Amino acid sequence: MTAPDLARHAQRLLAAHALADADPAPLAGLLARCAERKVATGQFLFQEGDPAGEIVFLLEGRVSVMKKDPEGADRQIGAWFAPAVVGGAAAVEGARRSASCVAGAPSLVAALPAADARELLGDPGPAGGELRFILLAAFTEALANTTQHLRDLLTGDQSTPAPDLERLLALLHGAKR
Amino acid sequence: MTEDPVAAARRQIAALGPVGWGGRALADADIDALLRAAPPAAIEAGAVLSREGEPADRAFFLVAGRLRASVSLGDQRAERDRTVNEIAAGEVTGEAALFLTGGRRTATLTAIEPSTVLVLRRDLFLPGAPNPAVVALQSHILAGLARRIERTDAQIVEAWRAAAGGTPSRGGLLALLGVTA
Repeated sequence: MTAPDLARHAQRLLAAHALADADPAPLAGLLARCAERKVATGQFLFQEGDPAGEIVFLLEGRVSVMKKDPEGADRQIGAWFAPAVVGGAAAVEGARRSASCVAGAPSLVAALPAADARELLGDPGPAGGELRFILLAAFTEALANTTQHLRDLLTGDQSTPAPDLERLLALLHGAKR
Repeated sequence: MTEDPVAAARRQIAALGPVGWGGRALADADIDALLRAAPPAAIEAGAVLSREGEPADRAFFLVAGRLRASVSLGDQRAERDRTVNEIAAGEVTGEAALFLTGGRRTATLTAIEPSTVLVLRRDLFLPGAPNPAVVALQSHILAGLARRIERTDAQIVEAWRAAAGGTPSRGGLLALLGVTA
């Protein structure tokens, strides 16, 4: 990617995470350190159960989030649209992937190794600051959306249709309310 | 004897470190700078810190005491409100106010014993203010959120698979709310 491309992607990522006024240069520098990948429709970014070895910045395109349903079949439970950070929680935790992500359209991603990300998250410098804020915003949004849907289920009309657990999973995995 | 609020705050902040590439412990000057930006506030038992539905514009780092998070379940129900979580010293609560804009409180926060909090505002966390104590606090919040997402996912999947097409129990949903709220 060219420097203007990196700056543009950084600006979009910041704006999508409540940091529209932030300087894009530190995040553009971080993106330049990432492995850039073009992903074809249907290609997996990672699979459920894999070790979370990287944080994935979805710069262009969209990915579907898939999970095994109670019968063991793959079921789409959510989707991420660029710009977004995908699979950040597992990478921060050093956990395994809780879902699979597959490109739903031709996509462009930048992957930051999880070990580098964890070091950067402790760095007081500007790139560390922007990465922390983006992840904090992404995580709080996912939890807030899930909480609000749960609240709606619990406080709604008693005759409301059966609670939709798939919808809860979707909200936790990138769906917007 | 109750611990001095400032001493409690210093102890909890110091416990967040070390941070940075070198993994150094937090310096007194870093802790002092955070305490100037977010001075400790004493809260009496029974006092309400924030109410469900209010605009959310700050979070709380509990440095001593204990808080209760409760949600209203509506006037028509026999059980009008429900405790969904208890927050222990060392935990941050209400963090959505720091990283999202325009949100409202999803729960009411009440002190269940004499408590001390640092009131955290969004501007403290914006990139460009590289106080290592703030970095440590952000990392602490981040790790807590990542764990909650992982736990929430695991609990929803468990309920999903247990229900297997049926209806999850109300008790199961309330338990989930205890993780996310």
